[in-house]
Amino acid sequence: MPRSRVLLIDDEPSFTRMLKLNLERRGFDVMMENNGANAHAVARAFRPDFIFLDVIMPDVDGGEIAAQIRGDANLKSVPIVFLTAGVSKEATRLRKNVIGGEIYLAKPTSVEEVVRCIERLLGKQAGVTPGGS
Amino acid sequence: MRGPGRADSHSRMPGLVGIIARGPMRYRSTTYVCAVCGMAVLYYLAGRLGLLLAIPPGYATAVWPPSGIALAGLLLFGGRIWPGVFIGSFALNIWTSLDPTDPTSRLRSLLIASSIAAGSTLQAFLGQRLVRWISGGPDAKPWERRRELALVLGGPIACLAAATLGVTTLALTGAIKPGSIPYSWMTWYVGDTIGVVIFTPILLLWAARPNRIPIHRRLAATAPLVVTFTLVVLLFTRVSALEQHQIRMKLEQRSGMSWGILAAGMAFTGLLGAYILSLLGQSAIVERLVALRTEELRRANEEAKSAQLKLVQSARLESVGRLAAGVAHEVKNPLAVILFAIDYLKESVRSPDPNVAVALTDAREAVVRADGVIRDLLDFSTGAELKPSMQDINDVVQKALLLVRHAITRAHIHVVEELEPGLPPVMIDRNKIEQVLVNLIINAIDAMPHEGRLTVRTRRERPQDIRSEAGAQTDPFQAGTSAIVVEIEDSGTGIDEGSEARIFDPFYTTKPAGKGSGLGLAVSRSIVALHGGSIGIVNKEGGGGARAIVVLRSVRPKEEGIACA
Repeated sequence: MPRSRVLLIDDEPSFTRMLKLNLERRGFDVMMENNGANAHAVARAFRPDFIFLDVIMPDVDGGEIAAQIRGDANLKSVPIVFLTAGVSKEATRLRKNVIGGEIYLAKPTSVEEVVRCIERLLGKQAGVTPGGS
Repeated sequence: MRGPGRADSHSRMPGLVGIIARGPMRYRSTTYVCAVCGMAVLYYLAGRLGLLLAIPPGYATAVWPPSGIALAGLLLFGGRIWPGVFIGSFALNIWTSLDPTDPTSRLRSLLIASSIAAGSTLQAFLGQRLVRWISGGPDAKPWERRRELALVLGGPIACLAAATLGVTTLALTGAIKPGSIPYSWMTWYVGDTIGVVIFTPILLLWAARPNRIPIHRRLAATAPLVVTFTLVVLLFTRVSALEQHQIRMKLEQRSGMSWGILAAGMAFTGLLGAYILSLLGQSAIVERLVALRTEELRRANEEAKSAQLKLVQSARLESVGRLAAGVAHEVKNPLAVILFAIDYLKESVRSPDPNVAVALTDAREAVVRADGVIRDLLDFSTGAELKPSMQDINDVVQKALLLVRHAITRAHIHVVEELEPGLPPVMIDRNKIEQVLVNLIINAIDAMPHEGRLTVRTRRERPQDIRSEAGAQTDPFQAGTSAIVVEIEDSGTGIDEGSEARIFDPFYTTKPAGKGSGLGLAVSRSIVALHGGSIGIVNKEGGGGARAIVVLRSVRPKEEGIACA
């Protein structure tokens, strides 16, 4: 059974590295990219089942990258979850991890939360197998 | 017989008119009997003294203090005590007119005494009604003018009654000759008028409450009147004795000198009294105006200080907010890395040393705690926008209680809901007010770690909610906005003395390290302030817990949202 492919796009290498280690241990196939400008190209090459995307990055905004990916016919169905450090406790409680229709995870978050999020979203998509070795 | 009270619209009036317009006091039957008897005795004694100044044949005197006493009595105790005037006057006139040696004169004496007593009573009653009518009333003119009018109505106008009735009776019964009617009427009328003009203001002056008219002012007004009155009486006594001697010498020829001296002297005394009272009134007005202005200035000063304090506080909070937003982003990323690293290590390290696992768990908890502080900071800095809608506050309170039900159950807390039914809906940001209530309830729970009683009340706003609560951050009342009060009361330890003033400061907490960020109440205050309301926490009277009071006012919704103040 093919392993689910997860793409991590975040300008913080230590963050993507630690998340990659954790997800790989749980059986996901993980690619990380720390340069927003390369994100779309990496996504086209990697063909992920799932994308984690940082909202605020120095070169390209997370929203812009999401637009590029969703504009790509090959990638438009890939679920994108935003990662943000700018969300308050209150916002998390009230908005149920959704801002402007987009799903997000507030940093810092636990590995369990990340995995739960992937499984939930991938589980909704027919024909895609959640991660597992 | 009792006139309608006009106390409400004139309770702030100073001095004599305050007394007059306040109307009669309410009393029990024993007090009433005492007032009637007192009036009768006073009237009688004052009459006996007044008769010393009588001008032959003795029925009329050029100054009649009882008329002033009667009017003052009725103004102070109400028209109901008129029997006192009647009894006093009747007793006095029976004593004057009854000739014990002539049994046939008894009926005539009885008639004369009754008629004069009726006239005196009518006069006092009429005077009382006229004075109260001119002194009171919602459209009353400035009170110094009213007082002079009151003096005229109670004196020269009302005093027409007794003189007319009395002299008519005397003439009809043959007690005075027809030729003496004008002289007697004039003497009677002047005597009664001067009695009212001099004695009524003095009595009312001394009957006023000490805080309304200071003692020095009473003395300043009374002393010249008493001195002038005494001088005139002495002069009259002297001239009258001389005149009696001349009458005896010249046989029946009456001289008007003593009458003239007495009448002129008393008129002068009366005018002097009116003038002094007028000065006194103006001085009282000036003093009152000065006191009012001083009070206004003091309040304005307090409000300015409070506004300045709020401004400083709000500027401080704003800078804290900006700092928080900037720091949050920079701190959260490293925290995220540390958390993932800890998660990874926990699964990787299989050390026989159990302390390794403990250390990793502690490190993880520390990161989560640090994240909690940062999120609170973000709440604090980004809570500037309201999304108001009409809400039933009882519903919001119940939802807040539901959100913390686990904590309530865990701490074995008994919850009492005293939610006033039928409260008007308020325009509030439901989520934010819910957050405020949750914060306050959690604080209350933390103050009762083992068990306790949590009382949650809702009610309409009372006037004292606006200013009185210590520690409350208040705003001036906004007319036309509905206001609801939510109280959250615990049976815990209460607030330390030193903490009362600081509990709303950001980062101030009395909870153990790691239990609270010290931002919950600061955030709550910002939210309530955005609603134009106030929030305060005070210790319960008598101790044994604290009470949080939140006054909420409806905000006006704007299409683009509510901007932070």
